[in-house]
Amino acid sequence: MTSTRIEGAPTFETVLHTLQQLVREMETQVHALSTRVRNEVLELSTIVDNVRREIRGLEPDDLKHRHIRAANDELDAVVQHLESATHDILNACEGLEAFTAHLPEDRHDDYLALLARIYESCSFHDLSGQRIRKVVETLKEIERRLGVLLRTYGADVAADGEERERDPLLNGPALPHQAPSQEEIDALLE
Amino acid sequence: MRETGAGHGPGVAKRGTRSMAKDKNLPILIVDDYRTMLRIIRSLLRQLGYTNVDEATDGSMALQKLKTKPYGLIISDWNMQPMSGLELLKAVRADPDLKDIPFIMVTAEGKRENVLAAKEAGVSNYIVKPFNAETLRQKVEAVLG
Repeated sequence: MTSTRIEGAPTFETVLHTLQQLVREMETQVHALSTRVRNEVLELSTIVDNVRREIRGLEPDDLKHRHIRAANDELDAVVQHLESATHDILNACEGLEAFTAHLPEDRHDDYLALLARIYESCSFHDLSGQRIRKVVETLKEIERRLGVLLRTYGADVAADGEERERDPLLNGPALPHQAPSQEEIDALLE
Repeated sequence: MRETGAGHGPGVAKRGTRSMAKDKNLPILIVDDYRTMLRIIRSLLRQLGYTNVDEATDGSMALQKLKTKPYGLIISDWNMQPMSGLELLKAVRADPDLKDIPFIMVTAEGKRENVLAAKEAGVSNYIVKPFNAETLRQKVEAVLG
């Protein structure tokens, strides 16, 4: 059988040689790529090991059981102290109210107005307590997320339970520059 | 603002021809989980002449008290456990014996969503903390007529 060669077409040997060159080129490229990937993975592994070492260096148990707990205890003490002081002030005011009867009648309103100012101001305990409660919740959330991070990197930290779903209508007192006025509230009720 | 009509059943103090604001013996229930705030509101009400005041420290305690005595006004905080002020308001408005009792929310929750949620639930008036004695007087007199 005679084969018909198309004029100008490469020979079998040429095609074979080209294919062999292509394969060698691909092998070189794949080798270079896998070396790069291997190096990147090694680098990542080093980074992860460093992070793990740093996180272990945080001494998770110490953070959780000493520092955060101490912060919570201090905040509890602040709230209790504020409550005690507020009750003392209110006791004194109620005692002062009893003196109203001994004042000239035309002084009663001014006197009671001053006492009312003190009663109003005593709401500091309620508002401070609510702000402190927000701080405590933030600390608990930090503690929880820290626990998740530590467990991810292999630290032996007990689970803190699921993140509680937050009621979007419970935000506590607003920051002073964000707090609405009573007039703004009244307008919403119209 | 919700209009409160004449009460029916034991839940609402009887309303005569005089405005309830003039009835200084009107039974008032104040609800707050901070005892200092209960004392403050009680003291300010006393200065306004209202001395028949009872207290509860959360919504569920308040509901129990509401079923035992006819109150003419409820003044409640919002953020309380186990039952919040909003839940108390909804429970009051859902109860045929209690639904007409004027209800003032006194709370640090001042966001628009909060006010609208309370309005939707049937609040009579809304005071944002910190408040002063004059604001309390105005809001109490506004709901009692």
